[in-house]
This record gives sequence, structure tokens and C-alpha cells, in this order.
Amino acid sequence: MHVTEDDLLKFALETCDDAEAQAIGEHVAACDECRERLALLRRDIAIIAGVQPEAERIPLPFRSYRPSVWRAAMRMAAVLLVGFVGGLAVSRWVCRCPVTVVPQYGASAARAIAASPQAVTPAPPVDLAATSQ
Amino acid sequence: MVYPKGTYEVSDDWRDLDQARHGDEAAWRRLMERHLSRLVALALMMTGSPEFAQDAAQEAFVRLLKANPAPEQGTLRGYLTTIVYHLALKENRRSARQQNVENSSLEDDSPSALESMVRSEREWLVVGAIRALDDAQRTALVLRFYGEHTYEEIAALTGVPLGTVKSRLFYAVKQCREWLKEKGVFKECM
Ligand SMILES: [Zn+2]
Repeated sequence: MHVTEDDLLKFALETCDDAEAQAIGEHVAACDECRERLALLRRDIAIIAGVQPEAERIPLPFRSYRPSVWRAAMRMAAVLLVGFVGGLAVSRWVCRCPVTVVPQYGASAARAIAASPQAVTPAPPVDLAATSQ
Repeated sequence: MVYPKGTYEVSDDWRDLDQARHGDEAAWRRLMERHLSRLVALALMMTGSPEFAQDAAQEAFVRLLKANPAPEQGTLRGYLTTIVYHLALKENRRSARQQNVENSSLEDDSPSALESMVRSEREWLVVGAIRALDDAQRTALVLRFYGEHTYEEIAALTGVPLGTVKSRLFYAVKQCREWLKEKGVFKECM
């Protein structure tokens, strides 16, 4: 006994319960005629579901509204601002604390060595922080 | 699946939306390519108005871009469909009110606009068959085939039990097939 047209349609639409679906599936797998009927039914459904109207595509709206571009610009502006203000502050601080370089040669060097005999090794590289103390 | 579905991943939609929001025209076109036609079909079949269908589908895309929904909220496909569905319901209420006032003909389809939108005679007949269904059956069919919603989603969207949604779809397709057989679109094959 073949599957009724209604049951085949329910099967194709996947609206029957699991037990029905299994029974119909088993019959269809074994029956060429019902398999052919199911294929035609599915073709009909594809036609009913397949209308593709011509539609006018619209361009991307809000061309000026591009969040990432804005965000990137704001980030760059912030970096520049921080850099500028930071640079200004550092330059002012450096001006207030001039580096004094102690001569390490000639008489004064000899005097310094005489004053601290352990300092016979060459002077270490000038440390800006230490020198400005 | 029993009906043709897009051969793309759900994540492609979200990636393209993100890129479109960053000004990527190509990503925007891909989203339109995937969804615009079926959304126009959905609105056209729900309301019968080609002009409204075009506007509603485009508006859904603009709203999508503005709202920028999160992927956790569901699929982008479902998001677009739901917007168009609600716009179509609103349009049907509006045109029903207008028709009551004007006492005009029920048929306000504009043939020339429809002809330019639906190309083949077969598709034209399919639109006619779907339009000939009662509202409840038509809604179930359109949300399933053109909204690409699951039966559970349709039940939630229309506020009817799952079994009712399935039975409405079954009768909708059955009736469309009868109608299209009469018009000679489908061969008698059973
Ligand atoms: Zn059989």
C-alpha cells in the first residue's frame, strides 16, 4: 500500500511526528513509485517557495556615519594631544632642572680623586637623575 | 530542507553587517544579494503591493544598520524577516482602514508594477495562488518559505500553537498546488 498524497506532503514539509516520518521514510526508501511522487512534490514546493522578485538595491546609507573611522580619528587625536601635552610638561620640567656636568678632568678631577681615594675607576656614565639631585 | 536555502553560513551575515557598518559597500551588497529578494517577496505576498514591498524590504536593511543587533539575539535573517513581517501587518491594517473610508475595490494591486517586479509568468501565478489563500494560511506559508523561519519561530511570531502552524502550512501548500494545477503550472502526477 502506497503513501497517500497528504502524508507525502506532510513528510515533505516536515510537519509529521517522528513515528510517521520514520514509517513514511522507510516506505519511500523501498518504493520507487512513492520516491518519484515525493520528488515531484518537492519540486512543486520549491516552485511555490521560489518566487524571486526583482528588487532595487539601495546603496549603503549614512556614508558619513562610519563608526570605526570616527573612532580611529578620535583615538589618533587623543594620542597626539597626550603626546603634545606630555612633551610640553617634560620640556618645562627639564628646563627647571638643568643638568650640571661636573668636569672630570684636569685639576678638579685630580682633586676629586684625592678627596675620595677609592674613586680611582673612571667615572660611571652620567646618570641624569643622579646628577640633578 | 525542502526549499532552496542560501548556501552561506549564519556567521557570514554578521561579519558582513559589521563590515557594512564600517563603510564596506561590498559587504552591504552581499547582504542585499542574500536577503533582499525574499524580503520583497514576503512583503509582496503579505500585502499585494509591489510599491510597499520594495519600500519595506529596503527599510528593513536601513533599520538593521541603525539597530546593529547582536548575534546572540538570533539570526540576521530572522531579524530582517521580523521587521518586514511587522511592517506588512501595519500596512494591511492601514490599507484596510483606508478601504473602509473610501469604500474602494479590495484589489489594489498595480499590475504594471507587479509585472516589472515578478518576471516569469509562472512566478506571477505562484504569487496569485499565495494571494488567494486566507490570511492565516498565507502568513504561515510566507513566514516559512520566504521568512525562512522555523515552525517554532512562526508559532511565537503569530501567537498560535505549533500544531496549528504546521496544519496551516500543510493546507496552504495543498491549496496552492490545486490552484496551480488548475492553471496548468503543475502536472497532475499523483
Ligand atoms: Zn509506495
